[in-house]
Amino acid sequence: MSQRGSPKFRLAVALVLVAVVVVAVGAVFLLTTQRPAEKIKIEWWDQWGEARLKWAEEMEAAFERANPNVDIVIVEFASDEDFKTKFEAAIAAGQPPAVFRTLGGGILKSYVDGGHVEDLTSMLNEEWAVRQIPRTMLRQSTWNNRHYAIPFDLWAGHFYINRELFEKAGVEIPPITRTWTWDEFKTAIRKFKEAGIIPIAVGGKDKWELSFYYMYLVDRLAGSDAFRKTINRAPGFSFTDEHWVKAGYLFKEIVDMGAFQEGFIGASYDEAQNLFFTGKAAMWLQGPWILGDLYASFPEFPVDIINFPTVPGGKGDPTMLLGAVQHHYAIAKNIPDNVKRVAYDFVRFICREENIIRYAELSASPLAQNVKVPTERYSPVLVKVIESTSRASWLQMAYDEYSPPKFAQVHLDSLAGVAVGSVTPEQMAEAQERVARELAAQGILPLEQV
Amino acid sequence: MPRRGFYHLSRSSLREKQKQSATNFSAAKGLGRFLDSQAGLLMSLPALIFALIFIFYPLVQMFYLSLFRWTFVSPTMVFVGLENYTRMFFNDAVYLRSLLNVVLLAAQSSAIQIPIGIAFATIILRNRRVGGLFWAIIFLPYVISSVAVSLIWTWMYNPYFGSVNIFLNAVGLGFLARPWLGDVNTALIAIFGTVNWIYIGLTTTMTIATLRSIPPSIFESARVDGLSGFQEFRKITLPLLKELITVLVIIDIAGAFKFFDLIWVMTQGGPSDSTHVTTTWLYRAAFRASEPGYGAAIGVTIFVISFVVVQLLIKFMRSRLTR
Repeated sequence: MSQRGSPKFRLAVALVLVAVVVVAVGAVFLLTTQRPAEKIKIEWWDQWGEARLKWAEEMEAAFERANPNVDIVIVEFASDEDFKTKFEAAIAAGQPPAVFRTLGGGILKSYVDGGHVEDLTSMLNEEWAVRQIPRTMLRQSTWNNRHYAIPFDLWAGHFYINRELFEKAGVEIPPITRTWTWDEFKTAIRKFKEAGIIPIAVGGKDKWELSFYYMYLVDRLAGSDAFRKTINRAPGFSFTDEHWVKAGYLFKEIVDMGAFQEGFIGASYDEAQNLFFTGKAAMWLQGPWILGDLYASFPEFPVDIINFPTVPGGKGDPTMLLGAVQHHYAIAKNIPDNVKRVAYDFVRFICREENIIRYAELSASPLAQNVKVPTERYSPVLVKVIESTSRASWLQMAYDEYSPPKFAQVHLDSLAGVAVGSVTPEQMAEAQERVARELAAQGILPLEQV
Repeated sequence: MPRRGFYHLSRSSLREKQKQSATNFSAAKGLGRFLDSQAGLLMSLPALIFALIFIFYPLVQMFYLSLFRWTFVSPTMVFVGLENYTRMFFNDAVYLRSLLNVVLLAAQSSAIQIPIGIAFATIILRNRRVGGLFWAIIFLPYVISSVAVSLIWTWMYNPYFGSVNIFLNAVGLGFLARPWLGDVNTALIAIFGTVNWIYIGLTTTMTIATLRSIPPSIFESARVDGLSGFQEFRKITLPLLKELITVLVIIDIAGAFKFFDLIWVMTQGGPSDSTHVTTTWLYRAAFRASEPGYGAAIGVTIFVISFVVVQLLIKFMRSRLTR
């Protein structure tokens, strides 16, 4: 037997190989992990989108330049749902991001109740914040007089319209300062249909677009108190009250007229956007976030905004708008003290006036803070949105954002049912009342005292 | 079972030896013997630990969670007993609908994909020259990521830009054109169409592989005996494909239970909850409506039902394949 084949020799070779691998891996490990000093890591979570991500990266670079011991980690999510799922998992795992985006409302409330959100009341009472952040903008993030988030921007829901198609179909464009009537609205729908134009594009698959119509109709019928009082279980208010049913029927009326594109219930946001952008649909009930994409693809698009129509016998103030503070930033409660201190500094930093102006400029959205943005930095339509928002008697936050998630799902699902005719408006009203009662029994509702 | 007997013998003889050498027991030797005697257990230990952590523990945890009302972030979990289960079966029409959809999905997959797959395989094998190209084309969808496929088909079904309606109008079937995914009556059918488009290529490929393993002499002798093409297919090909068909049916049934991505991307279970399967309904309950307890209860039922079905299928397959 030769020396090479002996078990001892083979064992020796194997040992040498193992030793080499161990040393190599160890060396690589040491080299790559050797850092001058441990940096404080601040995770910053949001569903950014391109324009706002650019702002975030500028903020990151500037803050890290001023604070070399800090590492800002921007984490991006593809959708709201993605964000919500990962965020809740991170909370459950006890590793929340230091700074995170929230839309306020019922979802933020559930995090606050769980003890996961830092109370920012003292920061909001600092001199700069009192000057810069209007207290009315804190409505969606305040409970028991404690503030939990810093508001950044607003959205408002208008009909975005294609002026050319209005001319082509012979429909007069109602000026933004006036609200058109339900009859005028229906006449317009008929005229568009006669001209072979889709009157309104809507992405029904995501359901929240359908909810815009219902929410406007409820407010036009019963005023801005109706939803807040009913969801917060004020005595004498119920989802089975007449206007909740009537709103369903008015919505059904325009569905049956064929106001929306064929198959709208299965259409995504992108498909609706495509119909409006390519000039196939005359109107799209949306928020100002569509403008960035619209101008990027069609810089010359004849876009304008008009109001949602009033309804016969409605008690609501017609200047009311669907809308709310959209993006807020909040700080997690359960993070190490040194990280939290830096998180506070970072939030103060991104709220500096020049950074807020930069935010407005890049995101092209109306601000929720008292910072003057030179109007030439905004597009004319956006200026119109901002002016219209400042005239509004009330901004109605979207039901599915204000309410606890379970109510939101019942609301959205049954409204989609009304749209296809599998649920009657009465059944929808009852379903909403039933789940509201259930949530009240569990102590989840009311969200606030009204 | 000679092997098992031998194993027992060796183990008991080892134990004997251990007893004998108890006087000059040394730690190293003892460990070595222990390792020898428990080799089977030790070698499967890593996999076992893995299974315990990632399969058994989550199962138990899921069942535990299904007895509570909780919202992921709420500080307290409220024990509700079997309330989630009674709600599911007596108070949740969409859940029952989603179960029906799973059954429909499995049934139509077997009923459509398998015959067409066999037909395609026969055609491809008979026409070697163009068959290869045809095979490559129909197998292609299976290689594309299912989310990409879903997005492509969502656009193809679009009533305004979609190629499906454009095609129907072009060939004079314009009366069939409709918003496929936006209609309660057609959304599920449209999804089935996409599913079949993806999986027919796979069925065809598996059939081709099976047919190729059949010795050509069988077909030759059939021809010598004067069997027509159809007779040859019925009397020879089909019986030889019996095992394959059983396997394909099992794959279709198992696949229907874990189906998710395609439906979630194409319809999210809509319109009006008509296209939900159990997994999409679970996702919606747990993550959209923030009711992980209820989602877990749905998960438990999926586990129980698929466990029973798989047991039955395995039994059925054993009895058929060993015959």
